[in-house]
Amino acid sequence: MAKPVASPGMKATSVRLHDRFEILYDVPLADLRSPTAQAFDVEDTRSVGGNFFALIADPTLPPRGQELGILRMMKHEAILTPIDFGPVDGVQDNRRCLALICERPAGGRLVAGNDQVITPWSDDEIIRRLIEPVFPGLKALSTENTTHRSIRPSNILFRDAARRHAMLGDCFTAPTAFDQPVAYETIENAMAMPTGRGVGTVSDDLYALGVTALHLLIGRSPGGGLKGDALIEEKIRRGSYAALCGEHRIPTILYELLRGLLVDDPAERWGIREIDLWLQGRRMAPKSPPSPPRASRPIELNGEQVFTARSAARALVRMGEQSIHILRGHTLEVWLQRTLGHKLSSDNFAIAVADVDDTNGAAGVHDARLLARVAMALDPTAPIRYRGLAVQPEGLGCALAVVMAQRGDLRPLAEILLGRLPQFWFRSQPLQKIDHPVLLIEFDRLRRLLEDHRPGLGIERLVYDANPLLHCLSPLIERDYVDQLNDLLPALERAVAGGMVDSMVVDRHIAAFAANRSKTLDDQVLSALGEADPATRLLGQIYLLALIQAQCGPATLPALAQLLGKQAKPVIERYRSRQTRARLEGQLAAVIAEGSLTRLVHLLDDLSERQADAQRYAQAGHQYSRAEAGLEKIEFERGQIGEGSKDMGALIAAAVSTVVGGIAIAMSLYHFGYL
Amino acid sequence: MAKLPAIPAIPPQSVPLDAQARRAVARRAMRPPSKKGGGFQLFLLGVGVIALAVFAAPTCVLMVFGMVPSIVAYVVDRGKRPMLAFTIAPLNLAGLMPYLLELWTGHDQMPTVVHLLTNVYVWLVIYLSAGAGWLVFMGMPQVMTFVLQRSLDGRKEKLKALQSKLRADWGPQVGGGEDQI
Repeated sequence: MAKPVASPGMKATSVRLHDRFEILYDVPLADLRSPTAQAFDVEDTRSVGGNFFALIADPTLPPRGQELGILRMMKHEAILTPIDFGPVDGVQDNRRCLALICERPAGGRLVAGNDQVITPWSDDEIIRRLIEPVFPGLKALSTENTTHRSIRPSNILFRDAARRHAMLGDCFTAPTAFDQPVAYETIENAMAMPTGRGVGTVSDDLYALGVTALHLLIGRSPGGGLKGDALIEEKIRRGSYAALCGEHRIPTILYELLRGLLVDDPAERWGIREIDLWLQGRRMAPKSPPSPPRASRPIELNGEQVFTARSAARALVRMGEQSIHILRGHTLEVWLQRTLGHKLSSDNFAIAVADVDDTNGAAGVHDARLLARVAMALDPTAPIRYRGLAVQPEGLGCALAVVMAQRGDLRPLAEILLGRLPQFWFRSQPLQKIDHPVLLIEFDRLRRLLEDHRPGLGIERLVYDANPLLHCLSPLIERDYVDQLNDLLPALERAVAGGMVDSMVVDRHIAAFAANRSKTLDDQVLSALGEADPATRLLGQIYLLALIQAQCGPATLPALAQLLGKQAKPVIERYRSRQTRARLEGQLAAVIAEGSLTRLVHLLDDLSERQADAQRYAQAGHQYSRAEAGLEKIEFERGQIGEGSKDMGALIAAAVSTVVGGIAIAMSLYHFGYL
Repeated sequence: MAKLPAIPAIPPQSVPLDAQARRAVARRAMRPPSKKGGGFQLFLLGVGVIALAVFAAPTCVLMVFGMVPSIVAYVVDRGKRPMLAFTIAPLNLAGLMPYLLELWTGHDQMPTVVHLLTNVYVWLVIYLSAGAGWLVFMGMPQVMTFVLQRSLDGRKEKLKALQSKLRADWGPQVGGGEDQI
């Protein structure tokens, strides 16, 4: 854990990560900073000879959790890889952030920004300084079955001072391809919003490498000044290669490579093997991908003449809700079947329309789902486009995390999952991959998770499941950047001690975070958290925190124990016996003083004691009922007492009279001398 | 002559009894059932009285006059067992006994009997003793009612105390009431 070295009241000028790396906040490194991470100099206290720098990630963006672990283990010279990482006190806003320690590249950054105009590189320079040094890194990533997705000129560094060997920069401090300009992304990924582009494939990296090489070759950003949607349209209309190269003359030696890398069809795009062969000197003619089916006669959508299914999908998406009457009519269907004549598109369209014959959800949701399905049917490789969002299925988790971290509207993203749009996307793909069935099952699981509204599940759990390194977004501890279960209780203890919590500590985020990180958490605890009964809910909270304390420590949590203990009255009142209640209340203060939530749980919820209490209570109930019956019997007997006492009185009167009379007679006899 | 259609016979109906009749039935029902040995006992009593009149006429006269309260009680008591007579008779006899003994120890002659029967104090003693028997008969049910009431009150107190203890230990809901805490 980092420890600020500055005196209290002053901003720390350095923080230490894992008792080794001293991050010097007063020595920023402008040339190494990335759009989503600031860079600072680092002193290695162990001094093993390395020259390090630190990237301080933007805490509102989820880092690439899985890739971070892989890159840390890879340690490849062609890629900037983290040596160590962990949360530290941030440089501003008094909040903690993720710090990543990397080996400092000697040559700095290639360009400060993607729009920077540079002296064009020669084809030989591009091969020797960029392709050859970087390609092994991409190959290694491919072997690890992961991607970089941040290949662009502004993220190219030089590992040597002479700037002869390029390396790929930071790709882990922000969501996948978050900062990639449209030009460097394939058409499909470029259509997706930056937070929802998904991990992608090595093919996407190779495309970006091709665009980067083109940038260096022409000295400016490719695309002839076009940006955003205009560039996407141009890529769709002319193909990526033509749209990006424009009128520039490509040297023969690079022509094959760029043609191969900038093919829009991923199946036809050059892969690792082709580039390997090309670098070895084997020259190959890149295949010309077949152009997409084009109708002989256009259909007019949104005031534009549309000739292809992809353009039709884009036009319909742009129209939004106004396109619903077209989808429900027959014009588009007839155009697809008869004019375009593309069977796959017309079949997919029929399935999409049939699939939304269900009437789940409100009318608006239903229409939006219909539009999204039709868009997927017409353009299967494009991202899911739903209510202004455009997201690749694999990027959904990350998009959710970003929206949640920024307190945005989660409903459209949740509706995508609830409407089973990812499943439809996978089924619509023209090229079915081996992992699609697994992903279909996973998306079904996520949808079920989303529909389960218990604390610890629902959309919060989904976000933590989909983003393994995402820190806990609970407002109580969000600024503490708790990304490990070990840090959760200390952060909560600080929040409680700081007076931020009045009653319930465990909110939905903390429950979901704990459920995601702790694999031993019992489902019953999560159910208890959602109970209406305050005692059960509180007990669920104490159980959850006690489990974490037992698993990760720390041994004492005085503030938490105090907060939860003082609310324990309803839990104690679950016991029926007044004596037991009094005894527990008497022992509570001592347990609170110990600060052990485990002891608190054992005190408040001892199973054997609860069973005995219930048993004794049942016995007491029986006793009470018997007494009640006895009282009723007494009242009945009281009603009968007149008759009984009359008979019995007569008998006793006769007996008394006999005895008294007998005595009197005996006395008379005695008096007269007979006795 | 034309045949008349047969008129169905009216079935005999039990007429509902009025309240007075019902009370009369109840009174009859309260009378002791006739016993087989009742007449024999009365016969033996008659034989005894006659024998006594024959062999000890003064004693018989004194007893007949002295035991009038018991005889009356026996006659008026309509219970199964003549408890009133059983209560009055011992004390009645005890009141009579001193005078019987006086008769037996003196001259057992009619003049003594007449002397005794003309003495108002004799009558007072005999009838006061019989009256005491009647008072015992009348007072004993009240005494019994009081005793039984006290017994029930004692049992009730114990049960109430048990319920209070249970409520104190387990709360009002142990008896199905609302928990006020």
